[in-house]
Amino acid sequence: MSEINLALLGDFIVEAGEHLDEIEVLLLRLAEDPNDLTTLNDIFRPVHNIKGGSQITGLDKVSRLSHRLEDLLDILRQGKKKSDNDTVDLLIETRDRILRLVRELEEFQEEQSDIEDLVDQLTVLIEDQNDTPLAAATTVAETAMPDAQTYQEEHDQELFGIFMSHLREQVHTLRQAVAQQDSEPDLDQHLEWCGAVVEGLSSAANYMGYQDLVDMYGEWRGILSDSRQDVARGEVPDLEFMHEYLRRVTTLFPDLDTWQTAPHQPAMDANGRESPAPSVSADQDGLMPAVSDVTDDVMNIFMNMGVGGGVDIAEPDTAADAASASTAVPADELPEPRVILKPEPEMEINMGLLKDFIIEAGDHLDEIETILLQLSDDPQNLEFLNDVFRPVHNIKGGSQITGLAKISRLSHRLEDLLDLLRQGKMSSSTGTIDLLIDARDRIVQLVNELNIHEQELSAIDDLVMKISHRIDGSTGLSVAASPAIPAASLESVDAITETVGSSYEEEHDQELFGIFMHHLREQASILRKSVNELQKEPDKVQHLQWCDDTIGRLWSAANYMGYQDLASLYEEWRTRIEQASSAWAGGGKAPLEFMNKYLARLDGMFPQLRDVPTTAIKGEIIETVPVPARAPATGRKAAPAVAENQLYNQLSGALDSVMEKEASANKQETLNQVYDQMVAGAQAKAKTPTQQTKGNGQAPTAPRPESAPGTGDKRRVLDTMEKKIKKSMRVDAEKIDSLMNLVGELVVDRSYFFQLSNEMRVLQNYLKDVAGIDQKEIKMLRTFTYRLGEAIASLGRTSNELQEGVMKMRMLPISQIFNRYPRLVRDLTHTSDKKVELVIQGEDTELDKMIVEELSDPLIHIIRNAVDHGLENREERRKAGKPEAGTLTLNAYQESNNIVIEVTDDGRGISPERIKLKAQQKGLYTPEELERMNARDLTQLILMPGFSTAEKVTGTSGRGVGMDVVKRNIEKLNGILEIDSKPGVRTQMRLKIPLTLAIIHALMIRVGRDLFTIPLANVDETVRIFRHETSKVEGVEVIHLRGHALPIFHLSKLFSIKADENTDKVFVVIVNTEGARTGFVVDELIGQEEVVIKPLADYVQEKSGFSGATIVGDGRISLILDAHELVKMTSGRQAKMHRDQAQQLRTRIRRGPKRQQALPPAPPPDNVH
Amino acid sequence: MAERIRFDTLTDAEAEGLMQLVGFKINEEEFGVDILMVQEIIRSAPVTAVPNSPEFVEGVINLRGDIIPVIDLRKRLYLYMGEGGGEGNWILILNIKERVIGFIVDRVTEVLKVEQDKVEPPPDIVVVGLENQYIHGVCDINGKLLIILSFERILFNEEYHMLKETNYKELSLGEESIVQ
Repeated sequence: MSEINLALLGDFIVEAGEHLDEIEVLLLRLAEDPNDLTTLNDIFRPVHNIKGGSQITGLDKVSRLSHRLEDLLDILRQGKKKSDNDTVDLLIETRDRILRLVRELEEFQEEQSDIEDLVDQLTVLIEDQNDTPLAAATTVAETAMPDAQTYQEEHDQELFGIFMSHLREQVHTLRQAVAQQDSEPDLDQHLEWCGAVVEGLSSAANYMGYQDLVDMYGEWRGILSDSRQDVARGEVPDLEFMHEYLRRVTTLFPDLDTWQTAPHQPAMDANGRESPAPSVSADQDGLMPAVSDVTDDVMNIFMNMGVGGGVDIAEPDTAADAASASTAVPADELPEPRVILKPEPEMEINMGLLKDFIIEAGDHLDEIETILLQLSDDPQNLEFLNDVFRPVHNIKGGSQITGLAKISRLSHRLEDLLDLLRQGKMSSSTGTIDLLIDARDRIVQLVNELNIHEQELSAIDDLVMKISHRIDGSTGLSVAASPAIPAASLESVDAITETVGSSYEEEHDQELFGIFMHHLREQASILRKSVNELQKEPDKVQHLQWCDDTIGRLWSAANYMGYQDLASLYEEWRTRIEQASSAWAGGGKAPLEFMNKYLARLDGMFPQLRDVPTTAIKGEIIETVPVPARAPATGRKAAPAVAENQLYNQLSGALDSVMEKEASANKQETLNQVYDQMVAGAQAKAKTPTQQTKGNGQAPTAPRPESAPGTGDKRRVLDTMEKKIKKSMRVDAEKIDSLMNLVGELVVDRSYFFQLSNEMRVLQNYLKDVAGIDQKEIKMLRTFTYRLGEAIASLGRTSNELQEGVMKMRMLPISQIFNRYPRLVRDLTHTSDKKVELVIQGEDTELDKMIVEELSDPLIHIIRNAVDHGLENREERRKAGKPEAGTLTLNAYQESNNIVIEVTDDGRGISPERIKLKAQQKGLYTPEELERMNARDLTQLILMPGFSTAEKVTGTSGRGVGMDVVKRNIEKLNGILEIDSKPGVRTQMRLKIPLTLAIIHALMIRVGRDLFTIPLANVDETVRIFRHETSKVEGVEVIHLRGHALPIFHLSKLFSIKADENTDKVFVVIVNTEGARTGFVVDELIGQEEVVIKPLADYVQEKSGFSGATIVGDGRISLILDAHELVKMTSGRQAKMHRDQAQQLRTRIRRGPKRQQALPPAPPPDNVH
Repeated sequence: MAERIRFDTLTDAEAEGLMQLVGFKINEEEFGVDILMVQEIIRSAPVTAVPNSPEFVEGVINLRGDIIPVIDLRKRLYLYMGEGGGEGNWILILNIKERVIGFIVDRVTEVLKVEQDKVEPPPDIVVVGLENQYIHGVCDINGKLLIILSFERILFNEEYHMLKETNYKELSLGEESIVQ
């Protein structure tokens, strides 16, 4: 079990949530067209992200499940299997399970749910098509032996896949070799080669931590070496054990055999070619598919370890022998060069994903930068290393899926390096961190290029190479293997050469390449020695001949590897030697500089050859770099010997300056730094030496080394491009809320100023009229008043814009919740015989984040109702002459300051008769009352608690708890819910929600001395009436407005406030709640204002008829009326009144004392009537 | 930062076995509240009444942009005295479990230090007409009885819900018009 990294968990949960949402949307799209390749591809990405994230966070179950999901998706998208509805169902179920696990993680910080059932189901589907090697690699191992199972379980999935493919190849090679071992002429060589292969396997197993496997390999090697001794004694050993061991490996990893049918079987096995032509890989440069790239890279680690270890054990000579021996093995026995899974010439950049990637990468890159800067202060801090790993991994994952070859390659190498660092296999120095920062900057640059050109333009090979070196250095391959190589080479700045060199390194089978390099290194070292001695050697012809032989050997190796360019270089070289040799033989003289030139070119192509020389030049053993078997100092200074090469001169100049610095200042400087500076110097060519002599103590991050040769201009361009990326950012919601609050205060202040300005005007008139001030003097005042007004208007504009801006920040598209409903509808109809087509419109409509969240549940209720009760089943629909599939439309649009959401179904509608029946059955109303109600009122009844017209309760709805909850939730948002239904035709639920909760448009009114605020959303109109215009119907005051009777209530009575007494005219504010109109009598209308809603304590607010309060300009508090609650209060009282009335006719008592008790501050005497 | 300091005082006080109380008066009775609960003490702010709220809720005040309910402690604890009532112009702003509430008291007196072991549990009998469920404890200060109130109970007691329900139900509308 891996440990859950709690520090990362929070982030993971947030991210996973987003990814899962995305997956859901896509899966539903997939359900419509199960074989839509685009959708499959789109799904792959978030799944992969979840996988990556969960692995890093240490979530076993999520990572395993998502990995299987990814496997299955991969098979699907490669078209190896057709997906059907069942597959999609399984995918959805898997997604849900992951969601559940994530929820559990959120709540309990552990994964509780079981996943085995799903893993099994997925595995069955994956295995179903067993011709997929990729899937088989992980699948069979899991289902087979318990051993393999645990191997699979415990370890990193990706690594395991790579391990398996390596194992598969090696075992395959071994098998072929073993099959022919009886006819093998040179048994010793054969055995030695086998030993090397097993050694390699052992290293890989060791790396994976499979101790048992390592032990077995050790045993195997022991027997192999015994057999070799037998052979040396002239005996013929029994080689049966080879078969035995191969069998054992095969039992452990039964899926090894599935490889036989693998389509990515080595090209040379398939078509008999000896080795892939370099042209296949010439345009590699990061273009090969990410998968093989990944494999290569990790393989590289394995191989480095394997080969490096082998060399340590073997005698130097025999190691060389081993190397050449293995190159001599017939080609078809060798592991195939791992070139390309499918010979795709180029990775396609997925433009759909690119935008997301750019945004995400921007975030990650920022994060990386921050952490790297921290890291540079404390390079050994493991926490930072862990932190930086995650975003790098994310970028890698994202870039692979988006099809960005360069970024994925670079970030992958970066990840490798980081992994070594955080595992402590390598200690990080400032040089390493500079390199990390370089790499990060290069990725930034690439991302910028993608943003602008949609292409990756910058070269990355220099960095990839540097990182590879770092990794090699730590694993001890290159340096350890060639202790005797004299110093000579420096990095070439020639980009082309570099590219060639790195592509040599990158594209080919790593093991073969390792052997090749080993050989090359040996030979080059010999050659170099002889070239140096050539000058003083008397017998130049013989010496040249000897060089020629060496180069001949090199040529063979290059030819074998299929490196045509290299081979022709050697050929050219040999020709020159031949010419020189014949010149010398003829007694003449010929220049011999060409030897150095060629050596330099060779170095340029294989920068790996450089490692040792650096050490040699340094002449001291570096302690801070954990490189085993560091070459002893030779004291040889080879660099000046090759002075002809102009390029070379520059490089050695750079080197010298570094060395001077070294000598004078800092002996502790690590090899890595020297190396870095050399490279930096080489790249910088024309730059001033100050940058090259950057010391250890200087802030390594301050001048970030240029990622490519360039000038300050470029840096600036980079900066501006970097800014361009940040198109979106995540902000803590709290920050926005507090900003919103401040804006609210500003709005209040603005109203205050406005009020002051009005007062000023009043004062001005007063001075003019009452105090009788001279026109001349009043003019000054008037000017001032005017200017004050201007200033306030300007303030108003600015604050309006500010307010709008802040509000926009909180806005989210309603698609955030709309996108959840396809799933809901699908689930609802899945088990029924209904068919529902969901139409979503206006999902881009934006509204306040908080409202969006609050709306989710009510809408679920409404949709459930529509599907369960509104829409008929197919049979009924057919009978009714409607199309079989019902249509459910979700529509959102903006209407002034409100958002309207309509949920419309073309189902059976709401039958008023049934409502009447139900209402009567439930005893909610008397038949007479129901008779009085119009259709609209009746429809509103379904909003009452406990009201359900459903004949029977279904699993999801029908209990009558839905609609009243909906209504309450909508009202909480100051929204309105309207129902419009035509029986047999359709039902429409119409939600009208204010754009934002925090600030509302409201009508300010006065009753007595108190100010109240009524949300404008509720206000239909205001009228002014004379008191005598009111009349009474059944004890309720009404006014007649355009022929309709409208009940009115005095706020003063509702609130027990002393109202104005002596006015004949009053104002009535008519509010519209749930389609019913009610008038409230107020003393004065003050005006429309924007007010900031502040909550009231729950016990104050509850059932008080207020939804909050707001602070008026002068600091006074104005309560905000909750029109719905108020109307409910009045109608409740009305109903009570009706009931009481009858009683009262009989006994007109009882009320008085009770009322006294209930309302201690006695209500003001009502003198209105 | 402020909280840290307060916390320190607490531990210090606790180490000494001392409790710091803000003393205040309603009518002539002395009450105390743990100083850590007191956010601030203000004098007479304009209180906006909230109609239909529980009787003991005097209204709301504007405390630097926040709207804070104010409870008349006298009414809440049913400490009615004769006709006049107290001055009632001090407002203790308390932070009770993250809720900020103002309590109107007659007078805030002083900060008292009380040894914790001198605080006795509330007596069974009713003290100064106050139900003992609202009393955290009592102690003797210079021969006078100091009642340490439990504001959690005062605020969160179910009773106020009941109160409100009754209040609400009994409130009826348009009585006059009916009578008319």
